[in-house]
Amino acid sequence: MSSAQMDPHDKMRSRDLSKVAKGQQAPRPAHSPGTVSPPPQNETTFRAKRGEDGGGETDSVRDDLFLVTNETRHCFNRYMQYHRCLEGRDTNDCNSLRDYVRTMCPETLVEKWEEQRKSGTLPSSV
Amino acid sequence: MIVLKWLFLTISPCDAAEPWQLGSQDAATPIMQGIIDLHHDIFFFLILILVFVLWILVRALWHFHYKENAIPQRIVHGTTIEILRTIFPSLISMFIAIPSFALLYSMDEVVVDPAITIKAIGHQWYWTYEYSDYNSSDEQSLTFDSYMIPEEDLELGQSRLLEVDNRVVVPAKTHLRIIVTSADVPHSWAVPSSGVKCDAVPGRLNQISILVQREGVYYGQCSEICGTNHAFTPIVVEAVPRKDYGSRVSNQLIPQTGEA
Repeated sequence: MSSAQMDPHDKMRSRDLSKVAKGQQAPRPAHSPGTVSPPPQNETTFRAKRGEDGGGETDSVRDDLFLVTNETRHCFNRYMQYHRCLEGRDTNDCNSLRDYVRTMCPETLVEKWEEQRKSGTLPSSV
Repeated sequence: MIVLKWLFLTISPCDAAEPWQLGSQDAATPIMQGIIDLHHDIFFFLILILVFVLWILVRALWHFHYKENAIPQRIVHGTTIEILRTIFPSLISMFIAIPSFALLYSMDEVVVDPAITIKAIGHQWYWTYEYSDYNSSDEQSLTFDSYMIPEEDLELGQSRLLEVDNRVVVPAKTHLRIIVTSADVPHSWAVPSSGVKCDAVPGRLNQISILVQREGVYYGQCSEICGTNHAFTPIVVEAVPRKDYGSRVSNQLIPQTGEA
């Protein structure tokens, strides 16, 4: 094994400082943090392929208001945002909001709210 | 045969419960690694305290035996020892509490934007999973039910009460968000090697974020008494390499749910 080619275990081994100083042992290489690459972009199933949000790395449904375990309000907020958007603007602009709702909320819940919205019993106004 | 069985058990991967298992399952996520490390850290203090208390106990029994010391000394207080035995236990509690809280809050908070969101919905008595990041327009989400394989249908090598018909396929080394909820009674979505146990409460959405560090099949069980078939509601997570994930989802799962 040449010096340029490093034994992967050598990274982990402890160093004898006196040997390192005398040049008998290579110093510990600089630590490079592991990386987590984004999901593949070339799959038809990924949202990026839709060309809607420019192939962003993540679905970005994270909301700084809801960083903890309980996401119940997050889902409802997104749902209300989507419908507010539908009422106010062109439908095309609301596609990402619709995706957020779909990502955050179970289908049965959305169906229930849709029914409530149609019958006017949704416990919040759009 | 017993030897063969024993050999098989020792080489089998440890991502499911084993007979006579005492320790945790092998960690598959950083959270589980943290839990195991915390357990070991606390156990260090636990052993120290155990040895010390036993030593005091045995010493007291020995020295104050009624034959040895018929009339014990009537000491009612000692300032030094009272200060010591107040301060040292509080210091020990602090040494235990600090890493414990650090781990607890790091588990709770979702720091990184998840790449994939999966919804796990508890039912009596199966789990439904929704993959909702994959719709191109108004089509239905990719949804499937995950039922336990009954004992008579098991194939050789499959685990009793743990195997399901449709596994949750997730990509390894990817930040995942799992939204856990229930459709009827409280359930609990638990996968020990991921360090995840999250109650599924009807009407509430709970989020957990995990990062599976290695490919594998991880077994868990419903962990909240949810009725007659509570014991027959297992959870199986299959972590596949990232490059295979898309094709696994589009080829395997979609035809099963009748969506193309």
